[in-house]
Amino acid sequence: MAEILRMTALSPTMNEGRIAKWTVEEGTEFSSGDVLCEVETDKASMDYEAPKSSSLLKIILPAGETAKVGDPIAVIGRKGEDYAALLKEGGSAAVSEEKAGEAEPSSMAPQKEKTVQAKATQESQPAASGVPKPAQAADARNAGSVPLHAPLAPARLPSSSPLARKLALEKGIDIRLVRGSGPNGRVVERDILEFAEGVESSGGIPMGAPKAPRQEPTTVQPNMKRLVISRRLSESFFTAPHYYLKKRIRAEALLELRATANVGRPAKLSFNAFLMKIVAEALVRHPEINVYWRGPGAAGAGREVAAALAAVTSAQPVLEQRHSIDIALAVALPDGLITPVVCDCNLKSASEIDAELAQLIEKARVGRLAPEDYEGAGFTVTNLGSFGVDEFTAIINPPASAILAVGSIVKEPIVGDNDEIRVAQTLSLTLGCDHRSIDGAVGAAFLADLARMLENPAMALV
Amino acid sequence: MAEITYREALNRALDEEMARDERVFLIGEEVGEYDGAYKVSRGLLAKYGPRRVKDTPISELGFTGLGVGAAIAGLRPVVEWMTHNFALLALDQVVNNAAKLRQMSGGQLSVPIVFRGPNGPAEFLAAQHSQALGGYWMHVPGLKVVAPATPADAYGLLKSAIRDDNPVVMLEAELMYAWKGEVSDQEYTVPIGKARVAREGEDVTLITYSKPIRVVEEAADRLAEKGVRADVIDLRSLRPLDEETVVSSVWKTSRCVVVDEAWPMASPGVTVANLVNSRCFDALDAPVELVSGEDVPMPYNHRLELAAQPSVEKVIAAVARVLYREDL
Amino acid sequence: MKTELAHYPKEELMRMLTTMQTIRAFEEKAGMMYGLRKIGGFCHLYTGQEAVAGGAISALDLSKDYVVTAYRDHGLAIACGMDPKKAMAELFGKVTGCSRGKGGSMHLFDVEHHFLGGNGIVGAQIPVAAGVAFSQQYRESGGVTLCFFGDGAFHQGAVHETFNLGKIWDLPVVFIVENNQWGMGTNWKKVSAVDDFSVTAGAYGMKGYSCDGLDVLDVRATIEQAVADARLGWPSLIEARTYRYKGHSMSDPQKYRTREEIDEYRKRDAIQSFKFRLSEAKMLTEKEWDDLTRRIDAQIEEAVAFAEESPEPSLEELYTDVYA
Repeated sequence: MAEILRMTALSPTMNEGRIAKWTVEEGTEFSSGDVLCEVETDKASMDYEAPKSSSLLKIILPAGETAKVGDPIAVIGRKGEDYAALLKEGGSAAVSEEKAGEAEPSSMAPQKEKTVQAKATQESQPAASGVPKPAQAADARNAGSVPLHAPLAPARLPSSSPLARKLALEKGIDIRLVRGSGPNGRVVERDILEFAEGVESSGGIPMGAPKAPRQEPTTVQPNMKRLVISRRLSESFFTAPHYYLKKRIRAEALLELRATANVGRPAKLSFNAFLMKIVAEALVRHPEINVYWRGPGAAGAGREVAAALAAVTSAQPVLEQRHSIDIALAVALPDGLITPVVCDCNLKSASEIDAELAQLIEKARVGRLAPEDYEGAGFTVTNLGSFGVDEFTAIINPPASAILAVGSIVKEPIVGDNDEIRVAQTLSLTLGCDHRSIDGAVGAAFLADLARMLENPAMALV
Repeated sequence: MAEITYREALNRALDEEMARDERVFLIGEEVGEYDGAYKVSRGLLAKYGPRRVKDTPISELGFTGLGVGAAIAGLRPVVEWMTHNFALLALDQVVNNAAKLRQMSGGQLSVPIVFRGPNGPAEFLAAQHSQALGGYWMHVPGLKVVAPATPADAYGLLKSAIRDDNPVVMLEAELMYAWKGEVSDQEYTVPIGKARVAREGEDVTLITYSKPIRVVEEAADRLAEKGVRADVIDLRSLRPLDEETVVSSVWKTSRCVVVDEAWPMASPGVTVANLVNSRCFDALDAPVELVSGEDVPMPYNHRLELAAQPSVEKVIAAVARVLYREDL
Repeated sequence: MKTELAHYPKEELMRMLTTMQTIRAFEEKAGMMYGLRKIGGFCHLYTGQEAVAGGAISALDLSKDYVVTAYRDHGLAIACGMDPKKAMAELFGKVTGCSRGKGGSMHLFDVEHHFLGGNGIVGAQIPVAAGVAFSQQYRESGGVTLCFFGDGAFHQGAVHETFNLGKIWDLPVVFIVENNQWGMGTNWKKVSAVDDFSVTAGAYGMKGYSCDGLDVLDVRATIEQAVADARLGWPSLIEARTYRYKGHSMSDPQKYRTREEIDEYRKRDAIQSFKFRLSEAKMLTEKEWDDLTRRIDAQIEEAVAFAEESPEPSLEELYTDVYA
């Protein structure tokens, strides 16, 4: 029975071989194990041994030529056998040559394994147990699990347990807002439950997840200015018993005055300059407001320290009546609040006050404000109207005893002198006083006069 | 219902199965004349004779392999290993033959055989005689592995193992043979692959198998005094593993402590912990804790050997960690 | 002393010849298919050793006797009656193979023909074979088990544990060491304390026999005697001195032995010798031989075609047959 002899893999890595020499001639018999030809492979020259005893009918691949593993190289069989049909088939007798020829050098076994593994992962998902029932195991895997929303990006989350995350999702709680009580701040179930309870009892707070990524707080050492602000205002707030008096006034007259005064001026006079001028006139009429409280617990700074120390040393508080009208204006600068002082406001015109203010603010901006420029005020005006603040309370700038907080000018309906309702421009004044030096009635009298003058600036003249 | 020992429960199961099925025979060192190294086979030689109760030479590889051959040729051997430590000499026969002959023959063969004997540390036996080797068997597909922790389960699981058409390895323990428990007078079997819920609770799941059940039970008692209610799962079978019982418990409690007297590397305990991690991830409020045997060969000294094993204190400490409580 | 041809009827002799030649043709074709990468992994060919399988298995009554061997198992499987189609398909890893493509060359099994494998761990099949014999004894089936292993396996502890068990329990087992003289690349003499394995039988109180593993009738006669003893509860050990023509497995370059040595054994080829004796005795004509080999070649071609055309196992097969 004639058959095609094919190039075989003579080494594990061989893909093709070149016939160096045929050692058996066509028409001769050979025994199993005889060398039929020498084949040069990628590695070495190898003997091609007869796989069985037979005879060489026809050499298909002559010496010097190369064949891939699986390609026909000869026809073997019984002497005289007709092998024409075999050749005509192109050497695809029993074995399907195409497939053999396709075989990759990496050998079939690993390839098969790879495919099986890949498919097995997709299709059967072998379970951890030894029970060989993939379908059942896969079902079991689904049973008992709960479908969940996509988890939050883990990198940005605080450490938290899976259960805590799941509960947070279910309850609509942003886990980043929850303080973790577990190791290393891990948010655990009880933290979510406690948080949820807090939210419920407080009537609920909106819990939409903030879009901005959470940033860890950064700390800086406060500069000297801020330390001073901190100390002075803390001392004031915690030692001086503040009280506040509120008054809403009509601002038309004041605005008209300013408008009139500004006609023809290239640089408009500021609203605050007029304010300070009229406050000065009110203080002239109410010297009991222009006082310092000095004594144990009183705050002071700079050149006032000596006086303050004296008072502390004497252990007796001192009420100091001031005789000049020196008014500070609270000014917000990028590095903190500053209160430049315009001295003798009662003796200066609104334009002088305005010019001096501009000068002081410029000095403050470039950091050249001297202590005398911001100390020694007997009264302070602070105006957040330009920030749209309706009304507010301010902390007294010690050792002075009073501060005026001015809100924004707003239009609102008011009852006029003839009980008519009309739209008016109004302004809120809040006077903060130190009760140690100024009693409520005293403060009220001052505020009433001040209000009258602001509503009718002509009053300042009489 | 009678209270009998674990040893008596095994003996009763063997006796009944040998009486029921002529193909069942017992083979191992000292199983006959000596009545069993641990007296599990007491009286069986007298009752069934030397044809069915075979005393062997000390040839674990030989008689274990012989058992495998008898199993593929129609019998149902029960191979007693004097201890699992010595079964290491027969590892090849269990792993390469018992577990694989069915698959390698494309399903032509079946290997209905039981390998059983004491496993895990006893007392004062030092390194070579105090090993919990369940993981060696549990690792191998083709085997089943059971580890009864009560006389009732010892009886019911041995009967199931003998009737199973697959190779079943049974983990017993020297110290457990004297444990007493209620066993029904009625004949019954315990299915392989089904865990036992030893007690129910909502706060934490404690999972164990075999001898550490008593440590776990005591820990659960003490936790109960502090208001912590534990779900205690006795796995009973390591392979197949009752995934559903484990998973549904942890979904209930959100906290899991696995207690295993084997070493911690590549152990039954970590397999269970991995199961919990993969199937209960979203339920967990704390990482799964493993209380295992310490990662050392067992020392002889009693103080050291106790320290090398899971204890009530270790279990409670692990529970405290998963509950984030320092007051337990 | 040569066993006389006349001792056996002609059809019995022809059966042995057919078995041997079928194995030869199968193995030569398997070698070619391996070269074409139709077969992968380890593939240990039996060429040269055909007389052992041909002689030994013909001495059995496979309605009750069993055969267990190691991984050079194609020859014994075919001798026991395994259909070459199933064997070749198994080598090809196809689902129509005797082990459904899960065993491959080393793990041929045919329970129907009492051929129990096909074991890949050197020596591991030996206690198993004793267990099969134990079952035969226990069930009083009257059967015996032939336990084959190689010269390499002889030094495993399993051999000696099992010899002892076989003897103390009077198991109906025959241990046959097929000494093909090369345990992989190690010559047997280099690693053996004895120069005839059969003498170790005495240490276990068993009978030991040596036979010429290249002479099918010597093998046959020796096994006949041993099997008769085993049926009476006398296990024995037989050394069949033989030779393999090919490497240990297909990936073996055989640098350890000379072509002259192989050629020397090929001159004594078991099949050719037997054929010559039959021809001399006028029991086999050239025509009969020609017809026989044509028929066998066709059968093997058919086996290849069957293997080639058979489907691969489906992926569902991955999880079947692991547990009963």
